[in-house]
Amino acid sequence: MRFPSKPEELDLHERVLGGDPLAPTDIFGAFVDPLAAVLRSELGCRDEELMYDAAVDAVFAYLDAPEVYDRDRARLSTFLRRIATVRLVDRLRSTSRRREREENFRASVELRAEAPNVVMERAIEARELSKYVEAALPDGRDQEALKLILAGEGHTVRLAAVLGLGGLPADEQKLAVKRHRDRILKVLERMGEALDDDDP
Amino acid sequence: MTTPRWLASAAVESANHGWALGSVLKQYQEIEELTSQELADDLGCSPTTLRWICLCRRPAKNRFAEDVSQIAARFNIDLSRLVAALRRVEVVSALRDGLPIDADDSELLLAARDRKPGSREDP
Repeated sequence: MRFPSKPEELDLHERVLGGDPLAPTDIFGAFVDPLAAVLRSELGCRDEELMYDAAVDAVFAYLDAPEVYDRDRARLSTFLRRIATVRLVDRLRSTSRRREREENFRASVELRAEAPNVVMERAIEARELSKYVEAALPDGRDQEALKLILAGEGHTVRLAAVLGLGGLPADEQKLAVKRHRDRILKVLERMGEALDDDDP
Repeated sequence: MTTPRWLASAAVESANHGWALGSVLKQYQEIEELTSQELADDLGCSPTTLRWICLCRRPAKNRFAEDVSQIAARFNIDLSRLVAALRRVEVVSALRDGLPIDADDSELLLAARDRKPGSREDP
């Protein structure tokens, strides 16, 4: 597929400037395929859709403002090739950015989402563990305090309330909460060691 | 002649360019609620020919008859149907924009009231 000759190009350009209603159709017919071929051979583009879109974009850009083309500076085919190249690069960048965004999103979703069998195994393990915890910490207040500690709660007043220490003066309350916290975590630590010993 | 692979997307894109006949035909499709196939049938051409027509420059006001005749002759379509479609869009656009329609445009109103061949007349 070849570009029109220089006289043919000039004739087409004159027709476009003159408002010939058929000139745009002829410009598309004469230039889109050769432009796509150049993008393929010179830029090594392998994405057919991107190539043709860039070529069509270039022709529309020219037809939107044909007076911008200066016949004394370059051939129309050269002018269109430059536009098509820029359009292709723009499209490739935009496609690459989109793919990157999609990859990042997919990766973050994969990190968060676990396979159904993993979720089920975790649920079974958690149920088993909760039986050990109930046995090791039979007091319901200790169990509630443990839940808060595991959830990252560090506020003395909240832990004190759960442990039934809400009526103590602040200083005493702080010390009492620390004591209970250390005791609960010690129990948990021992439980963990016992479970490790049970493992084959 | 084979249909170029880019033709369909170029025809769709033409609706976004005011100079293109595709932008006028898109308006006509919306006014008349026609599919592309129905519009092609209306103009008496194939969908592929309609896509090429979309890439033409819309006829200039000062040489409307000459321009539409050229387009109709090139693509072998029914001139009166193309004229009726273009006039209808012009009139509807003028009314929509609230522009006064002067005496010179009276023929536009007549064209806008034209019935398509084979359609029913008002009672």
